[in-house]
Amino acid sequence: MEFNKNKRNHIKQILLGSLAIGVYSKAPYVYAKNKQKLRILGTHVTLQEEIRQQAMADLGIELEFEAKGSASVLQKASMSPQTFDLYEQWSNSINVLWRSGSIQAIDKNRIKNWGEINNLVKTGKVSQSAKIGAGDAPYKILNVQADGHLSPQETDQISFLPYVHNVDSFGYNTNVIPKGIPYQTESWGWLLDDKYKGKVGIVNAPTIGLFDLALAAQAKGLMSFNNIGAISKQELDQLFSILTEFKQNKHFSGFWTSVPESVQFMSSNRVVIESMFSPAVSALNGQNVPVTYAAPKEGYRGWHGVMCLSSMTQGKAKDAAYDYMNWWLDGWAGAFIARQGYYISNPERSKSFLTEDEWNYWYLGKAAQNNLKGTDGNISVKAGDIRTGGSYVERFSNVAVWNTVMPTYEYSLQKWYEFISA
Amino acid sequence: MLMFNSIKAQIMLVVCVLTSLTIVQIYFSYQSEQSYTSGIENTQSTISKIDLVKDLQREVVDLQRNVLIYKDNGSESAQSRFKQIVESISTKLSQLANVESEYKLPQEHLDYVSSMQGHLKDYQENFEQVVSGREQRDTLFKVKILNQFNALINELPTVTNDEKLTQINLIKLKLLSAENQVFHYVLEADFAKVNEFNLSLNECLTLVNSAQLDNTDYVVSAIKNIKIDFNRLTQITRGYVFLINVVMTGSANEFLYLTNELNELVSQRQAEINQQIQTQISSIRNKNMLLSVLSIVITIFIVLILSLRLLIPINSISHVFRKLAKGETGLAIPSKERQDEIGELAQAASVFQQTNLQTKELLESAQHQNKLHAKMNDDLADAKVKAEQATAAKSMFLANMSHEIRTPLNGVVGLIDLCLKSKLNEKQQEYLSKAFYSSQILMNVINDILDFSKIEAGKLDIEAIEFDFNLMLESLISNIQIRANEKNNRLILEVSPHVPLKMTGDPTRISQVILNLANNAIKFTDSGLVKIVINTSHENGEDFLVVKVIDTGIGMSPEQLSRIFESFTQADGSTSRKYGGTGLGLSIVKQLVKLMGGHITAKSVENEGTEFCADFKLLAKSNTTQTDLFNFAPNQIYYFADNNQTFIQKSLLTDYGFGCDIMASAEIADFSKSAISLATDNGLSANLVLIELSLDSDIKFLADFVVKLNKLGLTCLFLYEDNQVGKYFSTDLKGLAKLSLPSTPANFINKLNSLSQNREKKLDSGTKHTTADSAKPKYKGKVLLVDDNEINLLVAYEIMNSFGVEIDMAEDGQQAIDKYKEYRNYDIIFMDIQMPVLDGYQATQEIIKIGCNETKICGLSANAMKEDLDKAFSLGMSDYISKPLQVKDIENVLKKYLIKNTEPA
Repeated sequence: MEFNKNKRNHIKQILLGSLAIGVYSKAPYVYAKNKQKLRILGTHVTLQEEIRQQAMADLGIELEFEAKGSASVLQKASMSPQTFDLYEQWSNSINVLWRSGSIQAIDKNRIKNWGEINNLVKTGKVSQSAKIGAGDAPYKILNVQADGHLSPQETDQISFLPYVHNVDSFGYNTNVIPKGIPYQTESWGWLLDDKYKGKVGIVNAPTIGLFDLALAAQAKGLMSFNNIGAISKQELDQLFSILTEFKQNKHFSGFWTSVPESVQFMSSNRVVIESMFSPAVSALNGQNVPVTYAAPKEGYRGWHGVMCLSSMTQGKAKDAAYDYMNWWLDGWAGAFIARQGYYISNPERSKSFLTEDEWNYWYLGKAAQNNLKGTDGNISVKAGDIRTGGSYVERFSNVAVWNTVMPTYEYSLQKWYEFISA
Repeated sequence: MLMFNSIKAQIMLVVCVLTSLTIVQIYFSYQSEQSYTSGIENTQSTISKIDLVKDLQREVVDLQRNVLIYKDNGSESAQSRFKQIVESISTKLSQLANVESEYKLPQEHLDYVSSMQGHLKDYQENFEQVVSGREQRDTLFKVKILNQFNALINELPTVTNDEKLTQINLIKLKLLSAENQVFHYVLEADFAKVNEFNLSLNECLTLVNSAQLDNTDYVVSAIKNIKIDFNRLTQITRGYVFLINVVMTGSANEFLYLTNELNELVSQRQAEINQQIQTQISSIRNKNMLLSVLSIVITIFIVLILSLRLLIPINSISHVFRKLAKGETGLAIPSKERQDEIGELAQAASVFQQTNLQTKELLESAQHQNKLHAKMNDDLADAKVKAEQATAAKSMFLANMSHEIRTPLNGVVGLIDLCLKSKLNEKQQEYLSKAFYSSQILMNVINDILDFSKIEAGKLDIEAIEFDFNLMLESLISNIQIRANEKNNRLILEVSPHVPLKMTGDPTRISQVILNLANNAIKFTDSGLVKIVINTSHENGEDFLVVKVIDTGIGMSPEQLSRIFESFTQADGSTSRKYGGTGLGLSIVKQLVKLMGGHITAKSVENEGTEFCADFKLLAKSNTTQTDLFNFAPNQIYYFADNNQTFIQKSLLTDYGFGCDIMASAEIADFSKSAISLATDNGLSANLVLIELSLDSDIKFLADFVVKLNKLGLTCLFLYEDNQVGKYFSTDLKGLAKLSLPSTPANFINKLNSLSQNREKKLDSGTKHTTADSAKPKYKGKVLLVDDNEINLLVAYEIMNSFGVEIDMAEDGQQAIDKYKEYRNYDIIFMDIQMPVLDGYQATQEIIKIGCNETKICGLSANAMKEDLDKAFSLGMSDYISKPLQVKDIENVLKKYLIKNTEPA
């Protein structure tokens, strides 16, 4: 009963959320006279109502959030830069957006706390021993070169504002799947384990889900990749041939396109293991669905949040956009998303916005001394819990692959289509 | 508890319990039906939902198909079809969300539908972007990129320099190659084509730079623009391919997944509902079963209870009742102590038994009474027999009385009559007359008593014979006149001209009634007037003879009047003493009138007079009336009278058709003179002159005028009262026509008839008429008188001898036969009935046996009973005379059968 009730509450929240978006999308006409309006297109990961309210309160501007699934967001952004001012998504969208001309370069000098940004986007390594990770590591696509290329070579122009980032893996319901040992027994291979046949969920995005499945296939020993960050056509053919077989055996229950959907998958027991983003894990745990966010021995799939400035945004909107970008790096937002398991690119700024217990748990990988509440007010971390995968550094030292748009992207789209339609 | 003592209440309770059970059963059945119905409804709704879901699945697949078609060739029809399908899906989704709104939709269901709606919305939006993307791409491709390529190639300078030409051609080649890659990419989105495109254009740029063309800057910038546009084209292509292949497909797949889930949910729900209904129905069925079993048990229980409480007691009480009905008593009655209807029944049985006992006693008593009644009935029967015997004896006694008293009385009367005819001195004459009169009275009294007795005994029979009214009246008047004269009463007779000449009835009894009434009137009237008025009436189809007898006597008080028809009653006690009589007269009259189908009424004023009115039903009558007796047409009458009250009323004469002038007798002188002067008038001779004679009349004076008038041809008739005075006058009128009054119409008319015939003759023969009244007619013939009584024989002999007939005599029946054998030619045999040796009947039979063609036999007997007459006639007697013998009776017989001897004796 409790489970169902929670589930219902959650869905109500989601519905209310989307309703709120509708309401706020109309609100600007009321406030437009006095306040600068800023349209932000993004995903549920960062487009959260608390953040919007806080930012509006702090900045005195009108914020309009348009939250969509990652693919939709990317598409919309790449096609219609006139429909947004800021774009919030992941680094794998940079190449697409940059090439399409939907976004303009951000002036690094206008980013107040740029100096506090850590090395992950600067050198690509959070520690000496850290793996860089295959695919489009964020540092590789940050700097806008004079010829328009994006490269690790530092310039004053950047293609995105680095801010939220995390490592993703899969979550599993420990009611069904015995809890594994991080970095030792937990493996991407579980996604293709016959034991969970029909109860597996994958994110519906070739630039993300493809890596989860590629990692899984590789971990399972079904095939290997020359460079998992740049999978060739042949490899794709092989991979999808394997995956299609799984698909046709009804191994996969569904392909989610948004975080709430992934929560719904798990909470409804549709899946017991699935590709997951961190907030979903927090939410589920908050709903007493015991989901463990795996620390796969093969390493994480890393992602880096990008905040991009629409190529069409100019003037006061652009100023407001810079204000908003600076606000993000000003501590509160970093602390807020820290409670959802995300990291901010200038963590020290947020430390003061977190309790020591929270800091220790979320960033340092230490056991929580007390129950920790998520941003929704539910207890998402129980006292004594340790974050899977350990500290920030440890986790980002184990990135197997970054979400990437590969040269075979067009082909993968076709293959992905064939796969999910199989 | 008390109220349930009554069986009615118990049965009501039972009915209530059974009804309640039935109602509960009906309720369960209804519930069962309801849940079944709702189950069916739910099932139908579910089926429709499943259908909806199936349709949804089909449509989503269709949607995707159309998206792919659009992706391939940008088909507009696919685009419009997409819109239709989206609308249809949207409608179906809202149907799914609402289809069972009245019945609880599981939250999951709503979640699914809402997710699907979300997916559909996204899908639609995405498709819009796809469409927009594709349009952008087409624009980029066709308008911008291809045009730019063409423009660029055209703008390349035309040179004649071979080297330059080669360079320019190479540039052209690279441009064409890049363009080719664009075409390829548009056909098949492949990143390799993008690389080759970039490679070609980069090489081209290198060539352009090295070639040092005139318009190098333009060419370089154009190439860069083409690159940007192509890059956008690839991005747009990626975008909408991503949308189609990933996002939309994902949505569609999710949609399909959700439909499957929904389908399962619905099916599961259906299964649940089915299960629920099954459970419900089964539960209801179980309840019904339980209830039925309960009902049966309760019913059996009730039947048992009813049997024990009702049927068995009722049975035994019925048994008791049957026995009671058979009249048994002393039975033990069960259930008497019960308070309910059975108890009442038992009480009733007890009462029944009690009643039986009483009935039995009553029966016994009734039987006893019956016996008494039977005895009484027997006694009554005996008494009746005795009474009848007594009545018979009385009748017999009366008959004997009649005979035994009348026979000697006959003798007395007959002998006195004879004696009176012999030479007697005055004293003897007077004594004998009185003796005769007394005898007559005695005879009348005896007759009255006899009549009364006969009437009382119902033995009086009324005859129905045709008779001559005038004859009856004549003998009646002569009788009455004598009495009237005795009391110095004037007797007036008025007979209506309409009275028939002959009528059928009992003349004897009619005469008796009139005689009685008239005698009665005379009896109570002194020196007054007694008027007999006779008429006929016709009522209700029947003819009546109406007789009024009016006197101016003492009259009666109303009280007296009211009792006069009662037997043995006279007006009062003093009447009886003063006037005598048996008091039977009027009673007999009334009885007789009644017997003759008539009525009698009386009215009277004390000291002024009395009027009796009697009518008699006439069984038949002749068509001829009194006026038919006229031989002439009635004409004018000149009536001379000195009394105010003329003997004959003027009105009566008028009735008879006469004109009438009444004048004082003194006026006859003037009349005579006028008559003489009018002698030449023929009309006058046809008229009549009537002259009343009274004590004061100057006979000679009148007679002179009459003689004169007769000479003139006028017919004159003197009228006088038939009394001493009248007789005295009449002697002075020798040779003149005269008529004593009262007179029957026949006498009056016959007189006028004869006068009218002889009107022109002299009055010579008139003297003969004077003796007509006193001299007896003589008859030719021989009679045989048979009577055992010597006196009777003598009386009869004397009477018959006075009529001049030859007489033989016999003293008994045998002698009569012997005489008859000796001399067969007797005209009449007068045969007494009661005789020794051989009675009258036997003798008559014998004589008739011998054969008597001409000889008539007339019975003589004091037995005046009707049966005697009947017997006489049935044996062959021609006539019958009741004793005492009257001259008149004998004359009547003689007149009937013998020829009148016109020769003087």
